[in-house]
Amino acid sequence: MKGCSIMGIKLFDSELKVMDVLWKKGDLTAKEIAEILKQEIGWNRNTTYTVIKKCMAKGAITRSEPNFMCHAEIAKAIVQTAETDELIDKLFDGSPDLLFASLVGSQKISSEQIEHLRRIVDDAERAE
Amino acid sequence: MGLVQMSLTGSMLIIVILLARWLAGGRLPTKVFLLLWEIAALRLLTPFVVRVSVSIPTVSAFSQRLAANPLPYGETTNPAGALLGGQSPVVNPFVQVAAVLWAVGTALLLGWAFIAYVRNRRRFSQSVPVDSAVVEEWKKAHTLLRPLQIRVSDQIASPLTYGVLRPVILLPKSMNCSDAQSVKFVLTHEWIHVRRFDAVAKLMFMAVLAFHWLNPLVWVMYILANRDMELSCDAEVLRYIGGDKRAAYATTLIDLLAQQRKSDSYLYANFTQNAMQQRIEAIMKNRKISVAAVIVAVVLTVFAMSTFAEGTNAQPKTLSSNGVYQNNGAYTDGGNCWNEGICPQDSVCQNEGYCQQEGVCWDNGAYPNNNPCGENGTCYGESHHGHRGHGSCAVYNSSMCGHRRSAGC
Repeated sequence: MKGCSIMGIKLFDSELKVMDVLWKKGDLTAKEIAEILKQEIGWNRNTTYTVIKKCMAKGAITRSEPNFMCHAEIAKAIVQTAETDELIDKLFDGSPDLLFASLVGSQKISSEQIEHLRRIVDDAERAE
Repeated sequence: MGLVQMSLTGSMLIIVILLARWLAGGRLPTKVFLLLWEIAALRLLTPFVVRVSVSIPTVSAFSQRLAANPLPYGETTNPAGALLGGQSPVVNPFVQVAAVLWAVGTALLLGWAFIAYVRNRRRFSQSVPVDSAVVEEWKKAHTLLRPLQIRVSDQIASPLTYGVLRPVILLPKSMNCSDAQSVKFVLTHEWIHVRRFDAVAKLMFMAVLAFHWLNPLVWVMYILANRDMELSCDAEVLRYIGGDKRAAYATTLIDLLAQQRKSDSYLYANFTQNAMQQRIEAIMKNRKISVAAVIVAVVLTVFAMSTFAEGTNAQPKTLSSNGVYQNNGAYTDGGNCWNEGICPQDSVCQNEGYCQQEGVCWDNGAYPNNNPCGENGTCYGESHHGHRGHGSCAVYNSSMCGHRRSAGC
């Protein structure tokens, strides 16, 4: 999603990490941001650059030359948490449990079904 | 070993595993089934066979016969050749269409899997290290030979693990990290996946599906193998944390599921519901494994591994001087004979394994270019000028039947 809405920009945690650096330290080059984040959370440079680009696509960061200087366009207060709902995301990212060992799988089930499962546990406990 | 033969051998193994699961699933540890599925997957992915000098009938020899028989052979190169392991059928259009369809399906599945894998890994790398005393304490108590990281992401719905050389356990942000017991359960479950290299098995099952998607048994295997991977992991967790914690563990799983958003697809939801219900029931059941069950498990495993062996037939094959094979022999110099190497008495095995009498069609033999066999086994050439019965046909170098002009065919 490009640009701001009146309600604010929705950012993922990863994007918030990058914004945090800019909010704390002011304008920095992409390289400097990458070095800081490598220290703080272990991201390699490509990861940081990818996230910076996503922030730019959402309008949260603008870039100026020289040196890929990054500037935070939005203030902390108006940021909300994001959700994935693009079709491409759903097609490729929607079911990581197909390719990676997941604890409960990425499908969602209804509250009736949750209750049903809890009853199974209760019944089994009472039977002992 | 061609793809079809691999598919047949693998399918027979899958059927045996399904029968075992149906008849004795409750009394055998699920780990056994996961191991059997992994052997079946290897069987379906590798053309590797060990030649054993014992005269026993083996599963792979049986399926080789099945694979070799039903189709007419000829000489040409097309994708169907890859399917049948070098024996290239030329004339059957059905097989050619099936081969192209298969190739397209495999390409799509592999393509999707590759893109999805890369995209997910990129998302995962944007996770942050976890900040929790409970996690740190757990990590110190559970070491691996490989460096293990535990991280948090707001872009996943369920805890998962990835990475083979540098494994990472990824927790969803929505998880309640203050509940120490739940956190330990989750980490232990993922840790068992990491120790068993389940990340590799997961990809292997997907690869099998990509190559054998035309075989419905393989879809069954894919679904059940993944389920058994989780069921056996739950069982190992319970062995580790103690059976008295089963209700707490089951509740942890249900809570994690409940934290995800509500379902919008009824069909999809029922499918998961089934799997989760099976897991919760298995967790709450108190199963004892008997000695008999262990024996059965060993027998099944040996059988599964035997699909990688190919025995030699009891009777030795003899090659007589003019290339006529006796004793239903097969070639010893690397060629293949049709119909298990049976050539009618007067015919000669050529280099390519086709039995030919000069110009005479073999009863069951099919000819390239669909040259029909007339009566008395004489064959028509491509000109189809109604020659019948009179002249005999010449043998051309690629074993095509054609007309010898001078003989008034």
